[in-house]
Amino acid sequence: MNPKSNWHAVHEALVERRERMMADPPTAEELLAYRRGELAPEHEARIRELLVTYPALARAIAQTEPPEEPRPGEDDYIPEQEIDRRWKALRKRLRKNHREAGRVLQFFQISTAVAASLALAFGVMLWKARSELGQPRVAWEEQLLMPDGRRGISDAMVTLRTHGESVLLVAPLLDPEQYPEYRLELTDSAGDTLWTSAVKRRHNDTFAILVPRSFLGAGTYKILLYGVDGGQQVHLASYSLHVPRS
Amino acid sequence: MTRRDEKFDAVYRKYLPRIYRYFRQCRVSDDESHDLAQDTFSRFYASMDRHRGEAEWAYLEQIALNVLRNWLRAQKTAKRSAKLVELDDPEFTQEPEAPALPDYAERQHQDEQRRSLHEAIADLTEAQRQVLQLWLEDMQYNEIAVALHISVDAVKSRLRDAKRILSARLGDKFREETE
Repeated sequence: MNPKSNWHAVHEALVERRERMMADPPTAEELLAYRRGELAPEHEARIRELLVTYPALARAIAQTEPPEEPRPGEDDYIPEQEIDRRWKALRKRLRKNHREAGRVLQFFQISTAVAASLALAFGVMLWKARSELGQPRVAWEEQLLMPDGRRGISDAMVTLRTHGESVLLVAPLLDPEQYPEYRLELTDSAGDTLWTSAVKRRHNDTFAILVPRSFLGAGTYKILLYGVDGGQQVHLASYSLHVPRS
Repeated sequence: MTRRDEKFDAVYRKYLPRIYRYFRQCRVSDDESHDLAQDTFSRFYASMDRHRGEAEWAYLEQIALNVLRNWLRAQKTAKRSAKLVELDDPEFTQEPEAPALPDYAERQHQDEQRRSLHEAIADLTEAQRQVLQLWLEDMQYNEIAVALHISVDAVKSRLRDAKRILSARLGDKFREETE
């Protein structure tokens, strides 16, 4: 009878206990340092416990000498032709890995070149934009608006001229009443708000906003002016304008 | 064939049987040992330019140990993320019926035995448990001694003590074999 046969249950219980507490196996460097006795006592105790958890590693560590070459007739003997076959298979695998590594490298080289070109292009564009912003510029077009209902007999709405990068919309306020704050709102023909902001009343009782031409496509717009006093907001005037197709 | 390939060819032919035996001696299955040996040489090929020709075995052993370690780690992960089976999977539903569970009294008896076994194991010192565990893994006294950094006599004495404690706790079934 196998002297260990009745210990099967103990073994199972130990394996069950081991699998419950299984930590990652130690690294090869740790194992070799352990074998050479180079670890501090606590570290050594931890590795010892892991060797019990991973008996395959305990067996590996126990092989202090290189194994002898298996001889014909031994269980683990590998015949010469089998070695040749395995060697060919490995060479094939190595070549494939090499080709794949080459492809990955090529992919990264191309990606890096593309990324570098894009970065350069964006860099140049940014530099150009910054330089242009730092340069003196021709004054923008100024457009005086008239409040709705006070544009005279024809009551024709103001039409924006289409040249220039930006347009300075100047809205005069005829109401003499002063408010602590004012707010302008730009809406489209459907009444949806496109932009809104607090504005200052200028010394000549006008309000001015600088609008990039590209912000306003062809169509009809309305600018609404409000006086704000605490939580209250009073509608003071509306200004309609038309942007023709360019 | 380049000089590099010639060198690799010589190392491969010289050490493949030993590396394979190394894994077999770690009780890795035959197929897995072949795969791990190939992995070891594949890694050696990738790093052989760093190897200056001295202590070939030591260099290969370190790679083999790393390969073994990674394999064990992957097995541990695979165990934790075991395959999920769809409830309507025909293969699953056509599985043969599970054997009938032992009756309640039998299960209670088994649970009781398991509990007393775990309690008995908890009575062992760490050193006794470690030796017992490796002995039950079929390791030789001298292998256990090398792995745990203790003498063969210490292995024998710890094992004897562990068996005595377990026998005292678990009864005659174990006593017959330890005496």
